[in-house]
Amino acid sequence: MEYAVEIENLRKEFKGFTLKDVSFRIPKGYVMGLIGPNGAGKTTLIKMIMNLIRKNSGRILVFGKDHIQHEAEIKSQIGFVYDVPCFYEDLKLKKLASGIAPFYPKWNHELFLGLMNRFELPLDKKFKKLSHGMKMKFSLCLALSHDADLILMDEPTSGLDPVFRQELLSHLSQIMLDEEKTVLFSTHITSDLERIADYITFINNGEILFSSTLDEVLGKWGIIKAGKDLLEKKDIPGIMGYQKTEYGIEILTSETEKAQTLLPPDSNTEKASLEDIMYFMSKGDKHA
Amino acid sequence: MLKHIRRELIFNQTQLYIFAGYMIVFWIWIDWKDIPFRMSLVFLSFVLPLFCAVSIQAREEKFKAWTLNCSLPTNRKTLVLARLITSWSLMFAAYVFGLLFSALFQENPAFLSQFLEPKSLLIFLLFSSLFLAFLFSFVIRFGMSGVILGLVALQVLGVITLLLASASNNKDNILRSFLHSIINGVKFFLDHDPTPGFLLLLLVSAAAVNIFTFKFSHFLFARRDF
Repeated sequence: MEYAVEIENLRKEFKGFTLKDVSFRIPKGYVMGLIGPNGAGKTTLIKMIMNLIRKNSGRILVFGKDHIQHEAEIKSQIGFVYDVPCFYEDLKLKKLASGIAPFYPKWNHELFLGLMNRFELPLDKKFKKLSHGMKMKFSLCLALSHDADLILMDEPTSGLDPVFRQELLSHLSQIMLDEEKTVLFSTHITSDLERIADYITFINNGEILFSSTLDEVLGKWGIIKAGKDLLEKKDIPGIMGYQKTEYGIEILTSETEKAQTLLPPDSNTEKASLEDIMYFMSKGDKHA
Repeated sequence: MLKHIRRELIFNQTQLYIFAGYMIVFWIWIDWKDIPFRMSLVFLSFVLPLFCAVSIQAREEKFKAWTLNCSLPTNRKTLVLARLITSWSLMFAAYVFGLLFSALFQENPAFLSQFLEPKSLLIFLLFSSLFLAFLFSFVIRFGMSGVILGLVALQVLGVITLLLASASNNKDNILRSFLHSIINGVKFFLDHDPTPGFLLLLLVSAAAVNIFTFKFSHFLFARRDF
């Protein structure tokens, strides 16, 4: 299998936070969702791929090439959406685009104008006059206008209204019809990922807790709700987290089918959503 | 490199109008106060790096635009080099613009023609390079807040030195000696005959200072996280 991004033992130490020897790979032509609570390391990881943050150790390959040795070449193939847009606020959108466009050999001005029109962004408006949602839309417009093979998006849907979120997701789905494009998408809004992601990587406290296909996660993972007598939970396979409730216990397991055979008849099993997984693994009483 | 310079000019267009305004005020002031040529040249050598290099970087810091620039398909070495070349282009453009503007009202053409003599141009090049070496590297690593802190620290150091000197009743204190040596150094360059050897020395020194500025600034900038 060809990989768009390969990350091996990536480490970055800050005061009070460490990204701990992170490894995962994104196959070419797929969408990977990067989920995790605030401060988990999602933005750090994406910025390290862009070499905005230096690594302490480890290796990042983008399309098989080292991301520092081939920095300019790699970045020309990446469409990057920032978590906080960082453009010169006093400039009009057309000025910003005219300064940025010449750096991308595959810049498509027709496509850019089409997206600006579709996203209802006025070219003559200054960046500072835009709402947060419009700023994100402009950032998306730039990222999608140069036929990028890899699209890195750090919380692109934050601050966007549900209508535009749906529009963005359907636009991304269209882009993905061309099986050459790869997307890494970090978000808190996990329902967005359930619509478009092929792979899910969960990061918490600087560590990758799992990186797997969405189908595997949603198919195999479940929440067991049972009485307090199930507190001897060590026997349950694939426990990833649990929480005690007023009425009993809720357990997140990655092996629902196996677990079901061991459960008492009064217990109840539900499929776990990405939000449930994120909650149990970061806030539950026990993390796997 | 041209697309980088173009980007710098597009993104800092507002700043260019402000420079032009500063230059107009500066040359009116020189004419109004009858500032001698030598002092005007020294002022220009310090004012232009401050306007052209520092204010662009301050603007970049204000909008956190280094993240934007560093995410473009380029590397940090090219970004630093582009910023240095743009700064020099702006400094020379401002130098020429100032002279042209001053020619509109300056009654003594000989005064202005002195600014275009090879020795004056090379002295401007060297003095500006020295000042730029300090400012450029410092701002690129620590930002404007770093420069302000650095200047405050220098002032505090100066005050402490003066206090210590007055307490010891020593007229030849370190600060005075330091300032005298700078003034004497400036005088040496301004008074020296414009022999070919001296002009070559100025040119080579300016080039060496700029190479150092570029290498040191890149060393610092490559270690920044955004």
